[in-house]
Amino acid sequence: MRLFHTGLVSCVAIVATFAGFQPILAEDGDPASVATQIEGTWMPESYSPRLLTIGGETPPLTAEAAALYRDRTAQADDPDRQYDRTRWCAGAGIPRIMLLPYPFEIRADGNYLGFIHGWYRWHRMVDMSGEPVDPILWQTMGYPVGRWLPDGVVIDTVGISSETVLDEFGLPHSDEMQLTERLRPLEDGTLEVTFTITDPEFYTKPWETVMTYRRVDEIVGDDVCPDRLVTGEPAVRRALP
Amino acid sequence: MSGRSLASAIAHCAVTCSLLVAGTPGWAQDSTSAEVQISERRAEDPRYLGGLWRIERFIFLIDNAPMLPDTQAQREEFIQAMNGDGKILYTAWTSCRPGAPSSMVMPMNSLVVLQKDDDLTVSFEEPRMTRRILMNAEHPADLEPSYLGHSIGRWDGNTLVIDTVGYNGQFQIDSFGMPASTQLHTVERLTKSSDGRRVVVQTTFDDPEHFSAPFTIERAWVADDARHQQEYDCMENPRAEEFVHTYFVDDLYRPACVSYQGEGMEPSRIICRKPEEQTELLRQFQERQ
Repeated sequence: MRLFHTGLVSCVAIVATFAGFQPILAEDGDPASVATQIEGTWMPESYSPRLLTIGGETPPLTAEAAALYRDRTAQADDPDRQYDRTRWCAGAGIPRIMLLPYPFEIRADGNYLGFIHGWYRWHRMVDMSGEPVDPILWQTMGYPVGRWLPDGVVIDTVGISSETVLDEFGLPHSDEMQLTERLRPLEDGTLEVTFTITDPEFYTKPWETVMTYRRVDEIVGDDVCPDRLVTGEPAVRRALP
Repeated sequence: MSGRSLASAIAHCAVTCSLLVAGTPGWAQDSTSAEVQISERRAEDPRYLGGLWRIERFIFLIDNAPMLPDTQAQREEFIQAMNGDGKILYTAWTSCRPGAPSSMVMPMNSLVVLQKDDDLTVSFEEPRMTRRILMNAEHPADLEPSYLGHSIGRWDGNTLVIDTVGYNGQFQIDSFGMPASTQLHTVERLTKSSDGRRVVVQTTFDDPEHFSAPFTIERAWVADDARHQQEYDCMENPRAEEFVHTYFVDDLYRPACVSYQGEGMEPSRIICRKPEEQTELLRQFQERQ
């Protein structure tokens, strides 16, 4: 039902604009060919504590969500801020874990596209079987389903717990958020991921942000967040290594 | 809206339209064949372990380890804390640390295997961890000790043999606090049934610092047609009420972040401090109870 609702919202968005249309879902891609281009370990090329749209603007928050974001932003320097669960090593959730200054690995096999994240060894297994999404209980990584494209992958995720936030300042989302990630290897060897967030409860329209990642020659190692906390280190670093 | 988001919206719209017209989204039509492919591959290839598996039975105790006297004495202390004093035993597992042996002795719920020619990636739901097994490789001489150790694999017929060393000794191998040292060496033997629906996992533990001889345990995975793992967000709610009734097997496991229940209608607040400061806050909390 959630998917149906999102689809209706999307239809409205389509009516609203036809500019720059590029049919990215014209045909399925060859998994083996695409997988070889996106498998490996990736590191963000940049890190920003504040998440902006692809055009560099504040996302189109509803009035209520904007007030919540202002309130959280005012607490951002408080060491006991309560909105950011990563502070005590709880799950960053998606998409935030893709935005943190940590590496992640992509591995493909069978029906799964696996993401092994460098922060506290979270993982998510994207179901590539082609079945519709089937969320049970909300969880921080949601329920991702993906599809191979000729030049990359598209992943749709719903069922993402609203206890997670989108940036260090607590950019909010609702339990009804739908996230679409479009992964595309670029000619310069980097990986581009465009994130589309559709969340009518908190945003007046769907919006996008984009990240690029560079390949790094390493296996994601042990990262045990509670071991940092006991030495007084922050749970999440705030800059690229 | 950019071209890409418009196209994405069209995809969602297409899903909605197909729901309206046919009752089933178009991209769901291949689902049955996808499931069949995984099942068939598991059945046909005795060396293929890929896909989602469920832990057959949750077992949290090792009862056949030939413990050395000091290890036996320590274990009795832990059992006294639990059974005699009614404490919750805090180990690496319960304090949200990984430790590959936890995945061998007391895994819960599900795991996903991604299998390549050169390695296997094994992601466990609970306790959450991802292990990497490098096929036909050697252990490096200069290993840095870690919770997961360094795992290499080889095929012995149709049995996958995983050899792991390089542990940091900062975890226990069962929920009763059975210790491990940096000398721990584990060998897992994974054998799949002929129908591809069950994997028997035999693990041999060798740790001369704690045991007089190697010993072996057996667990099993069963095939599961579920598509998604649930997640285990171990650190999400570090409740003070729990910590005041806890026996810490190692001081490392003392909490840095604790959730204190608010008074009256006040919401709970999670406060992070160094463990020694947190211990004092917990003492004050307990006095207020």
